[in-house]
Amino acid sequence: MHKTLVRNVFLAAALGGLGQAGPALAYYNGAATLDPGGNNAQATAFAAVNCFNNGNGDPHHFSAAVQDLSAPSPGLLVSLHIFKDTQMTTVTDPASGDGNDSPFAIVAGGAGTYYLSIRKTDLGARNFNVAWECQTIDNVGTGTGISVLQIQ
Amino acid sequence: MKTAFLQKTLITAALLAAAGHAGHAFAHSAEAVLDPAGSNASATDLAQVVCYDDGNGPPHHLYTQIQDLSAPVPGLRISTQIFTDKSMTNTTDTVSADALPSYPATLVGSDIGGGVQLYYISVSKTAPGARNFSITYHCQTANDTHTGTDISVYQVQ
Repeated sequence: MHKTLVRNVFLAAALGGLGQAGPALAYYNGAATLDPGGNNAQATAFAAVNCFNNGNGDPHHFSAAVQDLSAPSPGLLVSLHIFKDTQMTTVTDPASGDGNDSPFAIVAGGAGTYYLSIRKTDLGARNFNVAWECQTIDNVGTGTGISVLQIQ
Repeated sequence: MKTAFLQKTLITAALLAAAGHAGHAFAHSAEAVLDPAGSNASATDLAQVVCYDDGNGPPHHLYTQIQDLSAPVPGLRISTQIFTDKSMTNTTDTVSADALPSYPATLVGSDIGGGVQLYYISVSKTAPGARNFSITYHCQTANDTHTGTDISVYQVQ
């Protein structure tokens, strides 16, 4: 029930196409547009992710990747950040519109709240897909709840 | 004294090779190198900023700017982020080494008790490659007056 609730919150916040997909049923996926008006270089999507043991095991880390679905534009790249406590990491999709994700970003912070954000480097609308999952030390998916805090 | 202590902590943590007061009155600015080996596209620096009333007035928001001091490289840009547990913003220096910083980024925070606000700031980039940068950060009142600003460095990469 809890997972359903937070997934619905996520959907309500207008990230479309949410669901689990990909190899070994790993990773939740959602797509959205950052800066739909194309006039906000500082547009940022921001969410809180709760990692918990859903019976598959204790969370060890949170992993996520971003894919820029829009056509390439010089100097305009989409990046993803993961933050928890005193740790933060970053990945960037280096080739827009090529159908490939960025590398996966990982922060190993155990159970609890991680923050996930998507941002870009300049003006311009960007369609993107984000994949995310809380995982055990053996990379098995475990309890993952998400609440969207901001979409710009 | 508290400010001096935390600034010393900042220097000790080595995020910033040269930390000190510069720019306009009471601003905090510093220089550092992100990904000095040039091999870590995910390199991210992270710090916590505490805003408080130092007598100039209660904090309202945190202000940052970043300047990429390294030569331009296609696809390699440096950004700074400000966030709390509720919201986030960012700004990117779109022209490296042109002696101009990014547009300012500001984020309005909330009182966590006693008139104190808590923020995080980070610096990241879009590809492998060392970047020399300068960052300016300071807490401001609703009237953009500088007020109490302390920083603690969490991560240097």
